[in-house]
Amino acid sequence: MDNRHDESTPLDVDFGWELEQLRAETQARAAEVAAVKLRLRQTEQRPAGAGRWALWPVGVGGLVAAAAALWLALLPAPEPVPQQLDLVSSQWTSEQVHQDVQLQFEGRGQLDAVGKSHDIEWREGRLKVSVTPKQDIQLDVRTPEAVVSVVGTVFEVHRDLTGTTVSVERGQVAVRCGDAPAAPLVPSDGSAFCETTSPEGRAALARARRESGDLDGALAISAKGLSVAAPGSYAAAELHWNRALAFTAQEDWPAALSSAEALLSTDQASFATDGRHAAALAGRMASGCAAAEGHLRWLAEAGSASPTELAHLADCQAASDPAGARRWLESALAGTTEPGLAAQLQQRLDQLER
Amino acid sequence: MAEGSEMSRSMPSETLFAAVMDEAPGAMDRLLEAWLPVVVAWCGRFGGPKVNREDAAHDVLIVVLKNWRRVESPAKFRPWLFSVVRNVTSRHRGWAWIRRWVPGEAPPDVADPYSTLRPEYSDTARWVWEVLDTLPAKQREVVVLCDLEGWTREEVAALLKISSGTVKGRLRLGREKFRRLAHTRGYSPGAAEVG
Repeated sequence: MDNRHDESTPLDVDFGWELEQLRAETQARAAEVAAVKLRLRQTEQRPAGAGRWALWPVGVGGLVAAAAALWLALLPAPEPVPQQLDLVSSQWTSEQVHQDVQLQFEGRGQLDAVGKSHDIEWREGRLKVSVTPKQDIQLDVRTPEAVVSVVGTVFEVHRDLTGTTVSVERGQVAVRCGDAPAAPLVPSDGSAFCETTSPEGRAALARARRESGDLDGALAISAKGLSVAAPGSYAAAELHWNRALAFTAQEDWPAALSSAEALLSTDQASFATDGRHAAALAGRMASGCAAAEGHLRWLAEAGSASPTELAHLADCQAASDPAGARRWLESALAGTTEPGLAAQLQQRLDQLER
Repeated sequence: MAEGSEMSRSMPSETLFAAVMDEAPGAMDRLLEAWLPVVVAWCGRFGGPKVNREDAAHDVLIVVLKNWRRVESPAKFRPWLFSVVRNVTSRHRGWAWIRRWVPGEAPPDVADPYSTLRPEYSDTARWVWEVLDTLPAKQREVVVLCDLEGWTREEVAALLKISSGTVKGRLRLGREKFRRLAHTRGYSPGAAEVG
């Protein structure tokens, strides 16, 4: 070691010439600069160092992969980036949202994903999910009335106004309807149905049940819907309407009258006339003129009363207002084309004359 | 002092930097045009003889093009660029180390790490570079900046975001080790010049 200098003496005091050689040697050469510029233009997106491995023997790849795996295993896992995706399509569409998750859908929903965790909020339509098994994928499909959880499978979710239908093509899912415990579903089980919990959905479901003849089912669903519907809302009116018609079909006149009057109390204009028709019939059957006359008079004055309803109104007024009753009978007679009914109306008119 | 070293201690003009930030046409090209020779020289000097500095410079530019918006002002450009060069060359040194253990025919720069040196200077440059290359990274960094590129301790401290005292300590250790290694390996100051 050269002892003429202390430890902080610059190297170029004794190695000046050597350092100058290295300095000159390591200056950028024009050819190098040009080569880097050219490469940059050609491969701006090339991953660092990727090209240099291309021609190496296959063993190099294995060794590097092993080293990289070890290195990655020792590194803390990078923070996964949250991903949000609108799933909206009016056609059957396919979307690969992760290397192990494929979605096919027609309808609308939204995907929130972080790493291998996927949360899909499905609002309407059909959604088919394919998840590669045993890849630690966590995926939930949520609808307002159901949660479908999966680890590795192919399954389909179909949501409409009445609820959510889940069917499994391969594997197994856990389906939780509302607050009920999750239940497993496999392909041989067919499909699981989670009834809607929204008032609008329950109104639609009640109508479907009533029209199919399941009156008790329609009444039960309507009652559930009314427990969550806002008073005075359109959904509440539709639910009352379903109940009025179901009770009418069961000839439970007091209950039908009560439902019809509840319907009228919502003040939904589109149900005003139908509500009066239902209330007039149920009122007359339940309590006679006392309950029906007001509704019949409203229909007659609005020009919406049928000839039969005008005849009923005339019956109710015959004792107290014969002239008014005669007027309603004449209107009914003018409005009917049915000979039998016309004959009956004419007979009543004749009785009033006498 | 060499032209590249002077450039490496400067900073982009406010006008050019503002143009780059505004993504004005050609501004980034002008910035890279000015700094590419510095990047190539740094890649060689900090990467050492085992690193292909063209590869490293190319990778540095890719990082710069992807992340240049992180630089908030012209004054921060040089330290940021230096940190990019340091990270990239460190990674390339790691690859070079791995490639030494890979069987089969090695690429030219692995078989002869000094092949990128100019032949007329190779004897002298080889041993200086070889000795520098054996210094610990932190010591080599300050020795190269101060003794090869002519930076002051304060400039190096600002560049590396460390205290001047730390620079002084690393410089002392680096120089001491350089001299000891040169002596151990039989290199004498001026021997190559004479020989």
